[in-house]
Amino acid sequence: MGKRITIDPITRLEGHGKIDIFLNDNGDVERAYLQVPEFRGFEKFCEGRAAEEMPALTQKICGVCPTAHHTASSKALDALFNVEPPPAAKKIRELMYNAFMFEDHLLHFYVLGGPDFVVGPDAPAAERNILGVIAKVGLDIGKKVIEMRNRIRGVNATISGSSLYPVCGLPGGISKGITEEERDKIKESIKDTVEFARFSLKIFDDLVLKNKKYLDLIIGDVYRHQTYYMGLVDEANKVNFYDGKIRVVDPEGKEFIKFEAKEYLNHLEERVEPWSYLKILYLKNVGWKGFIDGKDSGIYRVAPLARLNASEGMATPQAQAEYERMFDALGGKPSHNTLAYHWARLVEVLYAAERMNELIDDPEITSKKIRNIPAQTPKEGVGVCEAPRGTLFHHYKTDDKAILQKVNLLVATQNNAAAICMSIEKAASKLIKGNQVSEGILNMVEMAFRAYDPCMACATHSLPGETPLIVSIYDKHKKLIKEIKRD
Amino acid sequence: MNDRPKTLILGMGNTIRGDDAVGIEVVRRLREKINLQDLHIKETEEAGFNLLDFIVGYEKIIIVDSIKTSTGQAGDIYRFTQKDFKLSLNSQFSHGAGIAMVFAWAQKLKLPTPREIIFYAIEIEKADVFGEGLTKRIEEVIIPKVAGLIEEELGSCVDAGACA
Repeated sequence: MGKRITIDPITRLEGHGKIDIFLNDNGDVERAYLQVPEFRGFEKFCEGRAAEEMPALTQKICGVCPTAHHTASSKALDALFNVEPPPAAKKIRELMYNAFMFEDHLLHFYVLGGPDFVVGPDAPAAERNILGVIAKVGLDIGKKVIEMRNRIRGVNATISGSSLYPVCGLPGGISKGITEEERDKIKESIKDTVEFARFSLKIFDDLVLKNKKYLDLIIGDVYRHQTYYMGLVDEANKVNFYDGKIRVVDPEGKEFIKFEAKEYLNHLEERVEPWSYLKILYLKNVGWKGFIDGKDSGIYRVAPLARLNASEGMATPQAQAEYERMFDALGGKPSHNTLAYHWARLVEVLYAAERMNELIDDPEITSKKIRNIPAQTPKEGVGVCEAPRGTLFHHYKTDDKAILQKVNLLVATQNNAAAICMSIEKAASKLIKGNQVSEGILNMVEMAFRAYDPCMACATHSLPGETPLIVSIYDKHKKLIKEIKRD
Repeated sequence: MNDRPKTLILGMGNTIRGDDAVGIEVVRRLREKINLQDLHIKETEEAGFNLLDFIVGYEKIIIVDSIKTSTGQAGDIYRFTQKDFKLSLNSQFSHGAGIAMVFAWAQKLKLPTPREIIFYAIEIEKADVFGEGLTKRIEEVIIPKVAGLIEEELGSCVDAGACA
C-alpha cells in the first residue's frame, strides 16, 4: 500500500502494441509484424450459452466499438433463427449503426489520425497528439467535436438503450421502436451532422491536400500496395455499412467475387505465421503467396478506402460527389494509397450523416412493427456488418434449443493484418539499411498502421490504460539488436 | 454538468475477463455500504475517450481499476495520484487513449476537470482470458480491503454525511 512502482509497459494482451522487424543477411528488412492481440478463449467462453445472449455478450470483447459486435451478432441471430426483421427494425438498426460510424470515424480523424496530417508527419513527437491537433484546428472545433459526439451518443442511447452498449438487438428485430417524440429529438440532434462532415472534409482539404508535401506522401510509393479490396455493398454495389453482399475487387478494380455472409468460409481463409500472434485472413481462391501484393497474392484490404474501392459509389448524393472527387484526385479507382484511408474515412462520415438524416425522415421509422417472432428451429447463422475498421463476421452453430455449440468471429483487423504488416515493412525498409536504424522510424511506422485504424482497444481498461509502442528489431539470427519505445 | 455531485468513485473493468472486474466489484461493495449526498458511485466497462463522459464536472474522482506490472503479485494494492503517473499523450492505436490523454484533452478544452484524482489499482494475475467470476483471494480479501481503504479516504465525508 502506498509504495511507488514503475509502471512498465506490460499490457493486457500478449503482443499488444508491439512491432517486430526481422532483418536479412544484409541487415535490411526482411519481414515486419504488428502483433495483434488475440481473443483467448472467447469462442469457448460462449459455448453452452443461449444464443440470444450473444448481442449483449460479444460487445464486451471491447470497451470501445461494441455497436459493431452487437449488430453483427443480432444479424447472426436473424440468420440462426431464419427470421427476417420487419423493415422498420432494419431501418432503426441501420440508423443506430450510422450514428455509431459517424461518431467513431470523426473521433479518429480529429484525435487519432489528426496527429499524422493535421499536426504533420514531421512535427516533433511532443506535438503529435490531441493537444497538437487542437492547437492547429482551434479550441472551438475541439469543443464542437465533443459536443457533436455527446449528441450522437445521446441518439444511440435513445435508440438502443445505452450510449455505448446497445441492448436492443433481438432475433427478428429490436426490443424498442422510436416514438414520434423521439424522432423529433433525434432529428434535432443530427440536423447539423452533414454540415459538420463537410466542414471536416474542408479541414482535410485545407491542411492536408493543399500541402504539397503531405499530398506527395499520400500519393507516393512509400505507403502504396496493390491488393484486393473487400466491403459490403447494396444491390446497386453502393457502400452499405449495415447490410448487403460482400464484394471483392481485384487490384485492377474488377469484381472478383460477390458473396453472402453465410458463404464466407468458401472465400476467406486464416493463416498463422510462426513469428506472429496474428491470424491472417486471405482470399482462399487466390491463395497465400506470402507478404506480397499484386493480383496473384490473396492479400486483401478492408475498411474505408477498401470499402470505397470495392463499391461502385456512395448511396447518398453529397458523399457520391466526394467519392468522385477523391478518386479523380488519386488518379482513378481503385486507389492503392494507404494514407488515402484518412480521406475515405471522411467521405464515409459524410455518407453516415446523410444516411442518418434520410432514415430519420423515413415515415416507417416510427412503425410499431419492429419484430418478427422466431418460429423455426435454430441451427446455424452468420451475421456481417462493416465495422469502422473493416468487415466483421459472427458465425454461430447451436443445438435445437439455441444453445451455442460453436462460435467463430472474424474481426475487422484480421482482414487487414497482412496488409498492415506489408505497410510497416515497406515504411521500415526506407529507414533500416545494413543494420543501421535511422531516426524517424517510429513516425513512419506509426503512420503506416494508423491509417488502417487497427483496433487494440481490448487492452485499454487496465491502468494506465494506454498502449506504448515498442519496435523490436532482430538480426538474421533472430537476436534482438535494438528496441525503440514510444510511451 | 453543474448538477453533478462533487465526488465520483468510478470502478472500471470488464466483467467477462475474470479478475479484471475487480474495480467494478469494489464499487458495488461500496454502493451497498455508502450513500452520501454529493457522492456518485459508478461503474463502467468503457475505455479510451469514452471516459471523458465520466470525468467532467466533478471536483474529485477516485478511480478503481486493475493493473498488471512486471514485478507485482496478484492482490497488491497501489494508491496513485496524478503526479505518480508518467503518462503518454501519444495514442498509437484506435481509440486507445490513456487516462492522461483524456484529462489533457478535457483540460485543453477548458472543460471542468477534477482538482484531485486518486487511483486505486489492484494487481491481477491475468486479464487476457475470458471468464466470469474472480479468484477467491481477490473476491474475499482484496475487494473488502480496497473498499475499506476508500472508506477511509472518504473519512470526513462519511462522518459528515456528505462530501461537501
